[in-house]
Amino acid sequence: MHPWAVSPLLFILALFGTSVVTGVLGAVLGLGGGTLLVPILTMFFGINLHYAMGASLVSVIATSSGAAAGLLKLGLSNIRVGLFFAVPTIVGAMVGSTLVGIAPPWVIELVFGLAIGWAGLLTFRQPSGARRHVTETDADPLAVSCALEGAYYDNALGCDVAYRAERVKRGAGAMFGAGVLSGLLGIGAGAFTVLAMDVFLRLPIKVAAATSSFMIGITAAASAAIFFARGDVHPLIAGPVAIGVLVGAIVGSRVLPRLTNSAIRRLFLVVVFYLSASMILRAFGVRLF
Amino acid sequence: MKAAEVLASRVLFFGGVLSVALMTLGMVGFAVRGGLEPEFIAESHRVEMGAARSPAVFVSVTEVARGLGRWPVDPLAVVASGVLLLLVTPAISVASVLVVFLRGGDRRYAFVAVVLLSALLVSLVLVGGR
Repeated sequence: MHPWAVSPLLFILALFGTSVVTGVLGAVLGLGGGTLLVPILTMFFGINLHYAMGASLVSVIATSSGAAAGLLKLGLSNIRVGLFFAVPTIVGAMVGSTLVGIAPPWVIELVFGLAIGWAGLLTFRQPSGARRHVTETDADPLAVSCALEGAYYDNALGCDVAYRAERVKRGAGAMFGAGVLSGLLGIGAGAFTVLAMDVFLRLPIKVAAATSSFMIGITAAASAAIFFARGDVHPLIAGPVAIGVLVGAIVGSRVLPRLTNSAIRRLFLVVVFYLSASMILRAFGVRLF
Repeated sequence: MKAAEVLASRVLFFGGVLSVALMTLGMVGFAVRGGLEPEFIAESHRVEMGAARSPAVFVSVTEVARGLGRWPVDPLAVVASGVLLLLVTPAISVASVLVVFLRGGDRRYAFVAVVLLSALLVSLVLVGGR
C-alpha cells in the first residue's frame, strides 16, 4: 500500500505540491517540468505510466502557454522559426504518441531513463552565448528564402544581435527526433529542441530557448490530444499536476536569475541522474523502493 | 512588436489562464461535493489500461459536453473542459497567426501555418470525432 493511499485529498495535495517543486526545478534546470515529473509520478506516487505521461503533456501546454506569451511579447521568440520547425516536430510527436499505444511499458521506461540522462548531460553544456553576426557567405539558401532570421536587443551585451538559421535540413531532422521523444515519453522535450537550435541552426541560446517554449506547446497539444482520445488523461491527475507545474514554473523563472551558482545546478542534476538510473533499472524489473 | 507575435501571445495567455481557472474550479467543486473516494487512488495505480476505463476519464468532446450539460454539473467534466481548452489553445494561436500572414500577403508562412494547423486538427479530430 502506498503511503498516500490514506486519503485521496492528501494524495491530490501531494501531487500539487510535488508538481510545484518539479516546476521550479524544471525551470531552474532548463529541463521543463515533464522530464522530472513522469518518473516522480510513476515511482513515488505509483501512478500508471500512461496517466503520468498524459498529465505531463497537459502541464507542458500550460507552462508553454504562460512562458511563450511573455517571450513572444519580449521579441525573443521568433514566430517564423517556431512555426517552420514545429512542422517536423509535430509529425514526430504524432508518430511517438501513437507508438505509446503499441510499445510495452518497459521499453518506454528504458528510453525515458536514457533520454532523461542525456537531457541531464546537456544541461552541463555551456551555452554558446551570442552568435557571430549574420554573414552572407555561410547563409543557408533555405534559411534565406524562408526568412529564418531576426534580431533582438541583448541586455547583457548592450546591443542588437542579428541571427539567421544555418543547416536547416539537419535542424529539421533533429526536430523530428525531438518530436518522437516528446510524444513517446510524454514530455515537452524542450532540452532537445533547444539543443537542435543551438547546435544545428546556430541560433543565439536566448532565441533558441524562447522559440522552443513556443514550439513545445504546439507539439505537446498534438500528442496530448492523442493521449486524451485514448483515455490516458485522468482529470484528477492532470488537473493538479498542470496547475502545480505552471505555478512552479512561474516561481522558478523568478528565482532563476538568483540561482546562477553552478554548484546548485550540479546538486539538482544528482536528482536527474538518480531518476534516470531508477527508470532504466525499472525497465529491467529492478525497483529501488 | 509584430502583429503575429502580439496576437499569438494574447491567445496563448488568455487560453492558458481560462483553462487553468476551469481546472481549478472543477477540482474544488469535486472536492467540495465529496467525490474524492479512496477508489480513485487504486484506479490511478492500475497496471493495465484499456478495456475497463475509469468513469472519471473523458475521451471525447461529446462526453465532456454531456457532463457539462447535466444538472448538477459534473465537476470532473469542468476539469476536462479546462484540459480540452488547453489542447485547442495552440491551434487557435496558429489559426490567428495564419489570418495575420494572409492579410500581410505572406503566402509561404500562411502555408506553413495551414500545414501545422492540419496536423493539430488531425489529432484533435481524434478527440472530437468520437
